[in-house]
Amino acid sequence: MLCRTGLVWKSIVDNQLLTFRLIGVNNQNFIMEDEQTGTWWQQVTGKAIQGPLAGKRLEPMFFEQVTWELWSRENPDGTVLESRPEFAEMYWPETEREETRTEGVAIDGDEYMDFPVEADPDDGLELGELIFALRLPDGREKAYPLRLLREQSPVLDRFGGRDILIVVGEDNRSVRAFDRVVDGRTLEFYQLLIEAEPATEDETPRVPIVLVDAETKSEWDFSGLATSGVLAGARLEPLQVYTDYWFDWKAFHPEGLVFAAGTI
Amino acid sequence: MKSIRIIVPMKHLPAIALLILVVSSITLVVIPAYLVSPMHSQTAYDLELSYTLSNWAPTLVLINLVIGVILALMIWSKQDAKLRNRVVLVIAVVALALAAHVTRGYLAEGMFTPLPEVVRVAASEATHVLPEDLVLGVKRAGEAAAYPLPIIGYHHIVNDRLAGEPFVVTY
Repeated sequence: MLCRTGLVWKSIVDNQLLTFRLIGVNNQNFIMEDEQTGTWWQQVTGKAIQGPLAGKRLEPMFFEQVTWELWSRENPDGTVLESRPEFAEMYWPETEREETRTEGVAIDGDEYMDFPVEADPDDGLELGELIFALRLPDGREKAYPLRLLREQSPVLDRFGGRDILIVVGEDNRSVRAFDRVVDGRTLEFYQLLIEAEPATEDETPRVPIVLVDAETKSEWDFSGLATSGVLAGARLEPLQVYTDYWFDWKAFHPEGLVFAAGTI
Repeated sequence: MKSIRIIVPMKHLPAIALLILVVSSITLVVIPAYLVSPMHSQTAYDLELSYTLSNWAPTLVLINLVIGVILALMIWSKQDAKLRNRVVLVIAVVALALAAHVTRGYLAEGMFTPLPEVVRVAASEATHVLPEDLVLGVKRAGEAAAYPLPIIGYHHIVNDRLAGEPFVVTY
């Protein structure tokens, strides 16, 4: 397995519409070529690395990586990319879906690849470990290991001059980040512990998470909406997060910061 | 005696030239693709070399093909051409043509075929996505679209539009 990074980029650069194709791989992250100018673009950074547009950057388009269960519930009128029968054999089989859905650590340095960076004992992270990268509108990024997010959600942080909230959904896989400043006031969030009766004996109950801010005791849902309390109706500004392997993010962000347990 | 020594290599010159063309065409196909393959880590130089070679490859390989066909016809028209030699000639020309054909396309897309057209279906009617599957979701002007990872994990790139705005979903 190579890159496991989903990203969405706007396709217009300097008023020109570009359409992209797969051309190759640079250090385990793929390179796209646009059909209009032949420029090569690095998928994970959106940066043009070779060709007439070299040095330009694609503009990120906000997206989220969440489970279908959550997305289809929140977007009942939405549409979804169809599955084409001629590629059915090529789409991820059940086993691979299971692998990526359950465990954060999905790969080792195996025969398919070598890691472009060395493990660093100081950061305490496995190279093949999944992280969520927070990307601020100004382009600054910080990495949060999924393992830590699951242990500590909701995570409160401060980065790039912003007060950040990162939450793992009740499915334990969907992750969202927000700016936790509302009307000029920084809010401290904690998660309500809700005990639920299992629907059946072998099924773990899934109850939508409820966050509470310590300042007003208003209740917030996973979409960043205040559902009750004095702030009811308020919305937290969503911030971009995306998944990546630690080695891949580190290779393309050599100076990048990583969130460590207990650093707030 | 002296003159014969010169004539023998001259006779083989077209065949040697043809061999060089075949080797160079195959090299021009393989090297740029190998440089950006997942089998190793890339340096900035690898990327530049691969980009430059893959820009020149289609033209060079086409020139090789044209010269190769002329050489093959020259050899073919020789009186003493044996059947075995003619089979070798056909193989050489086919190799040159194949190289010319391959450089016109995208080698990586041989492994990961792009979607011929992007079609989305209503989320409420979709049965091909499992509740636990991860999707990439985008929204624009009240419209929402989802791209399941099990599907885009194969195609890698989906060029699409939402509310008129063009974007590319990558995985």
